[in-house]
Amino acid sequence: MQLVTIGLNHNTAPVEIREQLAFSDGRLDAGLQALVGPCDFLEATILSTCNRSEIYAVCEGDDGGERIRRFLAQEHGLDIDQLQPCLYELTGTDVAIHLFRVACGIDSLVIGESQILGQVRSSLEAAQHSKAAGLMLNELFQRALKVGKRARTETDIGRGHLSISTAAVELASRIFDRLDGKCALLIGAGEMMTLTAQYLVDTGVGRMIVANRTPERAAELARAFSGEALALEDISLQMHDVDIIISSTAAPGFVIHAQMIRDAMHKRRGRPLFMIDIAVPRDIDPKVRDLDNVFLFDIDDLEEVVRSNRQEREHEIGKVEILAEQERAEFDQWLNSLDAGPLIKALRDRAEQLRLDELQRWTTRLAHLSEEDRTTVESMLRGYANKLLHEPSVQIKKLAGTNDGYLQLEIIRRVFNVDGSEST
Amino acid sequence: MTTACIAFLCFSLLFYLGATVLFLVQVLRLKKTNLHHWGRRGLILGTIVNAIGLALHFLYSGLSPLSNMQSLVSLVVIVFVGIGLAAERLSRAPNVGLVVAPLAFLSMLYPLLMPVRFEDAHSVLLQFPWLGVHVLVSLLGYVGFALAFCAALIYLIQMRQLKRGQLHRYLPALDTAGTATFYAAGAGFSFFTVGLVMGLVWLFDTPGEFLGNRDPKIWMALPTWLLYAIYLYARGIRHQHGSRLKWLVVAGFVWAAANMMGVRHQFLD
Repeated sequence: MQLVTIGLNHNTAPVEIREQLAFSDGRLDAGLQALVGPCDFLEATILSTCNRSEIYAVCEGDDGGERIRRFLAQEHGLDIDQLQPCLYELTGTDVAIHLFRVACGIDSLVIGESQILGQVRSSLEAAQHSKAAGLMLNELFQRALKVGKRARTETDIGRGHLSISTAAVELASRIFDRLDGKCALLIGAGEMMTLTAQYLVDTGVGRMIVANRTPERAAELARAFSGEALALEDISLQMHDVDIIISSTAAPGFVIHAQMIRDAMHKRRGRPLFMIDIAVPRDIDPKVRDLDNVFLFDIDDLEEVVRSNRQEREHEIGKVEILAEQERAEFDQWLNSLDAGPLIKALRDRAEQLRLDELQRWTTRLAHLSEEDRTTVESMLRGYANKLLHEPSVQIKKLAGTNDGYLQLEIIRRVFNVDGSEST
Repeated sequence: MTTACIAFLCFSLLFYLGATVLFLVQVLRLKKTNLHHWGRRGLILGTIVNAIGLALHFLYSGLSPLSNMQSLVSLVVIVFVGIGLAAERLSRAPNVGLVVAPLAFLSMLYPLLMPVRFEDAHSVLLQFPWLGVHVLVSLLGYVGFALAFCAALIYLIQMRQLKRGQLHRYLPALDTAGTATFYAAGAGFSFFTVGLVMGLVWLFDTPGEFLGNRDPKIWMALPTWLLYAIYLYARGIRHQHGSRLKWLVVAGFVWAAANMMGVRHQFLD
């Protein structure tokens, strides 16, 4: 029995190929049915995200990889030779370490992203729903989910934000312990500002004021964030009332001057003011940085925060690799323990056969025994065989769980000349 | 103090020093680890060892913690670290120990290096239980001031980091540190005021018997009271915020600590 995976990801295939090999929700069930049906795999799961498509399968024989390749080409109507350079193939416990790395987010385009963990879970649930996941893939994926969670709780791989918009919100949370009840002023428009504002709303900012040179645009944005519209000329009137200012206009000069903020801070009695200037050229006079309790971040500052967060995540990769390797070792032991069952059964079958052979051989000499005595002799032999094999069975189960369990079991197989390699 | 008590206090000093180093390494990010967890454990162990030393002192000598500087400071440090750790747990800010640990270390170091005996004060204390309450309440005031100092320092460090555009996730939010400063200073001020009034009442009740009217410790306590009064008025009544007020808290504590450790009552013969 072999565990195999074939797949492609953002490192091995361009987006044109990746999008062709993606399994939409509608095709996933049919694909799984085909794998465990006509393709004759014992178990199968499909992990399909925007950056990867992978098939995990358990099969008899060692041609599993080739069969998955043929399935992929057929399923998506592609030429197998065209696909070949983009695909990677892994077998045995290499499959496990790969899936563990994927679940931990260190094989992702954005290191440490958490979405992948949900996608691994969905993939397992889909396979369970289609009855395509059996003992081995259930165990493998459950372990992947476990190590993925451990990576995010025991290391900093998922810490810090990696986009400008979310980094701005992270900065805000370093100034204000709670964002609910705070008031934000959005000046201008633009995709990045809209995204940042959306994150602020999501984290519970209480009140939104939108100011724009075009009143219609201001009203439109205000509606989108359930806020109030304001004319650009009137922003100084509201400045003392807001805690967060995000500015992104196309104005050639400063929209917010230092004096404006100085006056506002006086009225605010020094309460902290958080300002984000994502406009180029800048909207906010950098002199405001010198004012007490005013925190201004421009696009370069935000990019620096993102870069630093990315670096910190990269530093954590080593720790995550160790976790994944530990889980692989445990999975390996679990796989070995699967081998113990067939070996013990083979030994017991051998003992039973010997008992029957011996009884047969002694049939003539024991002919004088009554039926009751014959039953007693048979029971005695069975009891002897069972007692003789009890301790070895216990030890085999223990050995199977050790790191070199596979080798130890192989020695026992050879010593007793039994073939217990069939899996349960 | 017996050798065993001194040994326990020295061990607690080592734990506080260890915790200080661990918190510093964590915050300065010399190495990316979870050292603050070990720092916290060091603080807890140091406090336990400190408490054992204090208990031994009481068992062997039968003297109260007010009998000498070492045990007096030990008591203050135990209460201070205990409240600091509880505040850390409640605020879920991981590095409150960053300022609690060095302060505990320095507080413990001073009386060990410069032992001061105050038998005179102790004999007076035994005569007037009122004074015992005065000392205890004043000490609680100092604990409050120390906590306010820690929170103010965290505020100033976090503010400096943010002004530089850097993000320090191991420190609490600016708002949290500001609020903690206010509450700790408020509590410290209340105790300190009661302690000060009790001391003055006793002084006026026993004119010229034990202390002179120009006793330096009493007069040195007044600027501390004034600095915290200004801070609490500005923050609590005028609703003022900002770094200048935090410096007021820092200055107030430095003055209070200098008075507590460096100035002695001048008892009349």
